[in-house]
Amino acid sequence: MDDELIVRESLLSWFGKYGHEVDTAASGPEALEKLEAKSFDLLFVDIKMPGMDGLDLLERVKEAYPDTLVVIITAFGSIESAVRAMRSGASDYLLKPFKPDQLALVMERILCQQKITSDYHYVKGCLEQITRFDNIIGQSAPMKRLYAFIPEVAQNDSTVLITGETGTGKELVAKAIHAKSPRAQLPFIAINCGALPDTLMESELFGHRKGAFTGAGHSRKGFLEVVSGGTLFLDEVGDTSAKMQVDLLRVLEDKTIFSVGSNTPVAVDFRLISATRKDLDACIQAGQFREDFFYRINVIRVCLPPLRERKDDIPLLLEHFMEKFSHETTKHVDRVRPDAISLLMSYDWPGNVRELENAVERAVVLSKSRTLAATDFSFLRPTPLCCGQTLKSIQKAHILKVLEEQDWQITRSAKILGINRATLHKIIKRDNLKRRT
Amino acid sequence: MIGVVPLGEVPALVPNVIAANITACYKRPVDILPVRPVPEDAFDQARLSYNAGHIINRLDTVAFGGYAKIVGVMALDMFIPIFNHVYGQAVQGGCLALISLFRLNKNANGSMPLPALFYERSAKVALHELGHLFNLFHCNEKRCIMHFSGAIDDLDRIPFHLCRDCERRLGQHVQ
Repeated sequence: MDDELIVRESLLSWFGKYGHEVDTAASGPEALEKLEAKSFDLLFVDIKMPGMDGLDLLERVKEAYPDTLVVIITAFGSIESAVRAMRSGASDYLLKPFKPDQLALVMERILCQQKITSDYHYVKGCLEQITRFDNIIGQSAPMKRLYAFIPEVAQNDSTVLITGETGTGKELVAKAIHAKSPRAQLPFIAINCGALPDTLMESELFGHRKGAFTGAGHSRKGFLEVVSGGTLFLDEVGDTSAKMQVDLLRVLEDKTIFSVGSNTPVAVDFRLISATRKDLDACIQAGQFREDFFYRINVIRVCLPPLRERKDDIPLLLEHFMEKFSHETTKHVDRVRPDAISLLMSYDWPGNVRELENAVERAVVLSKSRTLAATDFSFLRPTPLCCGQTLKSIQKAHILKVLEEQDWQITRSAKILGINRATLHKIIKRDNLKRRT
Repeated sequence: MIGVVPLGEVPALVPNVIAANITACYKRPVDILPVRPVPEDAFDQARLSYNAGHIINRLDTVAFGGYAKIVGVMALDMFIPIFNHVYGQAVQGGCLALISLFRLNKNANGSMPLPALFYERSAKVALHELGHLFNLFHCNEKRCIMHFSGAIDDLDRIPFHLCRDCERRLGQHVQ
């Protein structure tokens, strides 16, 4: 902003040589109009301008656009104006004409400051994601119920069993429960039971004493001891062996452990959250999972809906992942064509949110423009109908889906299904349909 | 074809050094054109220096037939409205650039440089301004001739060549 055309042209040309997008204004009101229309990272403002003083403009800018940096330039410098400028939030105060290296230094310092601010916001965002459950995305009815349920569950110490298909975010929910619980400041340790062989799992959980087995060169505390007051998350608990189920059951009942190779009991204090993609009721029926252990870990049940049952959340999730991967890949991809949205909404997402996340990452990485189109998701294949399903199971799933979508409003759901309310009530009772938490 | 035009009196060897370096860096033929006078109306009585933009506008009225880019060289000090002095000035993506030798013959501590260093500085400023004529922007890479040098020490630190990114951009511009 400068009332002298020659200065505006000169600055325009100089910043143009850096490849920056530059605009000029001859007065304060014109500058404010341009600021209203688009955002600017940095303003160079002359003090003496007709209509509005540069220092007044600085105050207005700092009030309305605090992130915009302002450098005051003047041919008539004074201590008073310099002090007022710096107190009003100016990033620098330069006397015209500048020395070339002076302006270069100011630019370098400001760009550095901007990078630090941007990094700070990014790190702060990451930290918030770790400590809060804002990273669970969704505004659909099942997710709203989940948001209300998590703080309730978090406040007591009962064991929690999270069920849901793969990729539905079971670990995120476990972390959210931990983050909202009185144990939030203590460790959260996650173990994937399906990934560890039995002997290793025993050593990892209970620890071992030196010489307890070949290769145990030194004593090591197990996760049950290390977690000390925090939360232990057992992912894929349905994959634990019968022996491990017995060992864990004993720990849950006695709250003491014995390290491998030790006879001394160690008191432990932790909250257990388990998760599984399996139908544990069926596993119990099949004799693959201990019933007593099941009741121990299943005091509170949280069922996570698959993505196909909360498709309303797809646009929100898409926006979140686009922002995430645009930042990670430093590619500016921030728009989606309607055809891409339609494709994503029509897809069944057997891998749930994780599959959507991977699909968006791939699309962002390979995209040649800032807009994602259906062609960017051409690698997605529509899920074929499963011929192994019975008509009854399809009917049950459909009725449940409609009920969930309608927030279990019986009249509305019955109308959509084309049956009367009494029939719907009968089906709910007969098929034991239950509202997901 | 690129033309180097001495404006007023300049050390005889400078245009030759500049021409040789342009050929080495940009792989283009260079001619040294006849000396032209410095437009005296470009002198600013208040700032006691020559207005670089004014001189470039004057050069724009001269027909340099067959030369796509012209680099003017003068021994006098020059400025642009926002800076109290400049080593060089060019029209981004244009045809005309101008360099001043006035401040290249003095080190940061006030001493005189050896002649070889003075010639090096002249060549670097010319290569930098010519880069702007090829629509290259200021580069963040410190080991690139397109890195902005606000002070004489900065100029001594930059190399005589373009970085890989600027080389690529130059290739795209030429295509």
